[in-house]
Amino acid sequence: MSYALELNDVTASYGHGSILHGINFAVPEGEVTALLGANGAGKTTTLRAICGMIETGGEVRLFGEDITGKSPDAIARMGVAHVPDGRGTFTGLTVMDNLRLGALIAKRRGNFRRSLDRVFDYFPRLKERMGQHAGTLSGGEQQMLAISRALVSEPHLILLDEPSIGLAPVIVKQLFGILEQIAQDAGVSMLLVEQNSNLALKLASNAALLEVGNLVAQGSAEALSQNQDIARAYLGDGAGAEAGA
Amino acid sequence: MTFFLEQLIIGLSSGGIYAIMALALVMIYKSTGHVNLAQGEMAVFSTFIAWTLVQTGMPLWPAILLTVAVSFVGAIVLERVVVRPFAEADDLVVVAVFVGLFLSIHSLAGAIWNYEVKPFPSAFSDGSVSLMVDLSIRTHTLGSLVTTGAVLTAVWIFFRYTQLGLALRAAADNRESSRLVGINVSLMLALGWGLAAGIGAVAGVMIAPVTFLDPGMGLAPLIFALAGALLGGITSPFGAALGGLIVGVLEAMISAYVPYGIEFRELIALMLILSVLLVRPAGLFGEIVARRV
Ligand SMILES: Nc1ncnc2c1ncn2[C@@H]1O[C@H](COP(=O)(O)OP(=O)(O)O)[C@@H](O)[C@H]1O
Ligand SMILES: [Mg+2]
Repeated sequence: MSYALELNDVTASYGHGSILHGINFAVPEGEVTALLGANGAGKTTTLRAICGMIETGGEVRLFGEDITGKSPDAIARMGVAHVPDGRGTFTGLTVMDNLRLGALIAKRRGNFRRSLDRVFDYFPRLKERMGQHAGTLSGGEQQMLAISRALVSEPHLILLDEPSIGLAPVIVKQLFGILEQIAQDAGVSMLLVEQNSNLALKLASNAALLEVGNLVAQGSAEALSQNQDIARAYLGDGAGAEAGA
Repeated sequence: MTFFLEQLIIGLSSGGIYAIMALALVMIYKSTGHVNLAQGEMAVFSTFIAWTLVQTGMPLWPAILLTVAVSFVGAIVLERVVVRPFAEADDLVVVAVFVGLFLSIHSLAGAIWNYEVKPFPSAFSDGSVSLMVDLSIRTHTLGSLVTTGAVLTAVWIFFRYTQLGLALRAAADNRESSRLVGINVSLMLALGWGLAAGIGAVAGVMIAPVTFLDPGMGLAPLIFALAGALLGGITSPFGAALGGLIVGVLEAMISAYVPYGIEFRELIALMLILSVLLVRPAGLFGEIVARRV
């Protein structure tokens, strides 16, 4: 099997004290892999490490090529689209300019129109908002914009950091429907970070589970969701809330 | 009426210079969050370079173009070496860096070219153009107006329509996201300085024939440009440019119509601007964008 992404003994820190303690997992090419874990487990940190946004040790491979230590912009130009925590909206720019920015690195020029049509197909709402400042969009619309920005860059690998966060359940359902479509359409590989593991495991074919900087389980999404111990300890929205109550 | 028109054109002409200087200030402000106090001194330094080139026998227009290019490169180096190391420093430290830059460039210009006031040739033919029966305007005044208008238009097209302009705006808006869409942010910051200095060089060679050239020449235009930027809104390139034009016209009108206006034009202009800012702190076009999280 060939991999879009491989992490070998990856460590990461924000300057003092390591946050990731040597994690290993891989994202098979053309599939959706979910990275799960509680708040503070290190999921966002893992995505930042992959993209070269923080100090990183070990080895990150993109389609076999070692990208450890490369700059975030260089990694982006290699075809990695990161939909970050907080959505990364260019708030002072228009929706259209946000999309143009996504397309800056698209490989095939002249494809922007077609890419635009495609994302407007997925998210018709964005089309109505084209000339508006992106900072004035609702949270859901900003998430749609962030995903669209990733899509128009024609990426090989999409990293999604908790796309469901802060959104109303109806919107989340809609969004995940579209993510499923995207995954099927394009043959693009995806690494999906979620706390909402029920949702993520439905979409993903494989999953890995993080716990305070260590990888504690990985396997097929099906196996992970059926493992009773894991399910009780980490997964599902209800489990954590009950434990905390 | 023709007197009024004459004053208007004169005002727009110096206002055009303030407008492009204001634009340079906005470009740096948007990407660093600071006003580059040394902008005026950089423009003067550039003008001295043009003066030197002309002294060596180079025709003026090629000298101006070469000066713009040298200023562009020089400011990129300056940003890398002097400004970048303090990018994460406290606000006061950054202000100190800019003040230091102001004083250093000022003294360097004085040391190289001394403080004697020098005439600077106009890039346009001497004499004046007759626009109407009894309205004739100096060629330099018109030429300067056209030049600054062309710079404003070119800058607008560049930022609005080109990919590089878009990348520059993105880097000023959100550095982290810019990196994630593949933009080399540190290159953009340096390019922003280069562009600002290039624009400043144009402003310098347009002012110098009017005010004559000496190391202190940059302060008044900088203050008027800053006033214009604040008036229009320092977060808005369009507002800042318009503010610069308004300040220029205001200055001309006060000199022409207010008794003792020539002596007090700076003061009166600044007081008018401050009154506007009391009502609209972000400036006329300053963006207070409603942001949802
Ligand atoms: N910018 C930062 N500086 C220092 N520590 C951080 C920073 N961001 C996150 N951390 C720490 O790293 C750990 C993992 O955080 P994060 O990767 O954001 O978790 P998750 O995304 O799984 O909720 C947490 O203990 C958090 O406090
Ligand atoms: Mg997170």
